[in-house]
Amino acid sequence: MPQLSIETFVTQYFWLVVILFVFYYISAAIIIPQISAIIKTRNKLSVVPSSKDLSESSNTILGKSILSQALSIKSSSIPSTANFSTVFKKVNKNWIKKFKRTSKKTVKKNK
Amino acid sequence: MTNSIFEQFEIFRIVPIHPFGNLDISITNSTIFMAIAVGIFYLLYKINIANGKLIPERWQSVLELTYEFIHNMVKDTIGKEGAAYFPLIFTLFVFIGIMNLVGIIPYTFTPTAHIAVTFGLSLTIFLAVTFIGLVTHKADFFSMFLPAGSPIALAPFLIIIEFISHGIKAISLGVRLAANLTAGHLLFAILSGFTWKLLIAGSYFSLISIFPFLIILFITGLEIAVAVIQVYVFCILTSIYINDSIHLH
Repeated sequence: MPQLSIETFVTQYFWLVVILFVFYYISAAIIIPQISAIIKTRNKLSVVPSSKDLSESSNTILGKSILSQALSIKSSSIPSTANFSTVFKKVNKNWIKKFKRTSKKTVKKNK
Repeated sequence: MTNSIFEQFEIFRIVPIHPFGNLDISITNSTIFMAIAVGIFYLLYKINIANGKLIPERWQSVLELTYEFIHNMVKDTIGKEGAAYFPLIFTLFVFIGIMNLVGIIPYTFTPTAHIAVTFGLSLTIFLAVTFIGLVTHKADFFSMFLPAGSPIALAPFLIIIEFISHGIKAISLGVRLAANLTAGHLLFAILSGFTWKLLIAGSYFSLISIFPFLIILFITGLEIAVAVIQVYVFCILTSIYINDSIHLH
């Protein structure tokens, strides 16, 4: 059973750590901020129309122009993430801040 | 015959690297498939999120739904403090998920079917969880081993039981993932070997071989479900463990 052959464990774990770190770096510093930026921008811009309004408005000329405008808004309107190091620092700073806050809170609660 | 069933889990050294004597950090097929997972995720980002639209297309909404799904999961299990751990859980979910799903494609390799990988992950998570608990609560962390309101006469037993259940987290988390994937892949190998043998047996047997083939198709669907469910279980358990050590039950 190759799963139990101990001589391959070190190489597997070593590369797991390296690649997982790269993966974490990519997702925490680049991808997650951009996805959340897209979702937040959408929530800000969205006016929730009923389905009836939408079907009616897409038939009128004005409705069509509004729809086409909405479709053409791309990420250029979404602030692109700052460069790698600043984002990473920010992530860490927030993490430390939150961590300190929670630890204080829980200590107080216990007392 | 038994050797060929386990052949799919074999690890090959593609680029042997031995920096210090016996230390072996060769690039193996396991490494290649982990790197492929990173590549797939980066490509998905580059194509969909990098020029994301307000009205998402198919793959963009898949990524956004994953994001929101994990976000809600972390929020529900850990609460407000969970925001700090969200990137970790998201990374784990996507990384293991892509590796599991790629592994179902024939002639590929599944790094997560190996105990070294999953056990390494779960042991790291276990150490981190214990460390978080100790840093947050100092000595109060050990109150976790005796549930509040339990009679003092039971304390010796309860402490032993709780201590074991805390320690077993490290093992169960990793073994569950590896065992599920290994079982699924072995089933594939056995069934496809059976189908092939029937097919080359000739006459009626060749006709009968359609049934095991249909079963393989069914099992493939099942395995895709198992791959996703196991990642979900892995991530939700990780967040529950983090919650346990932040809030002490």
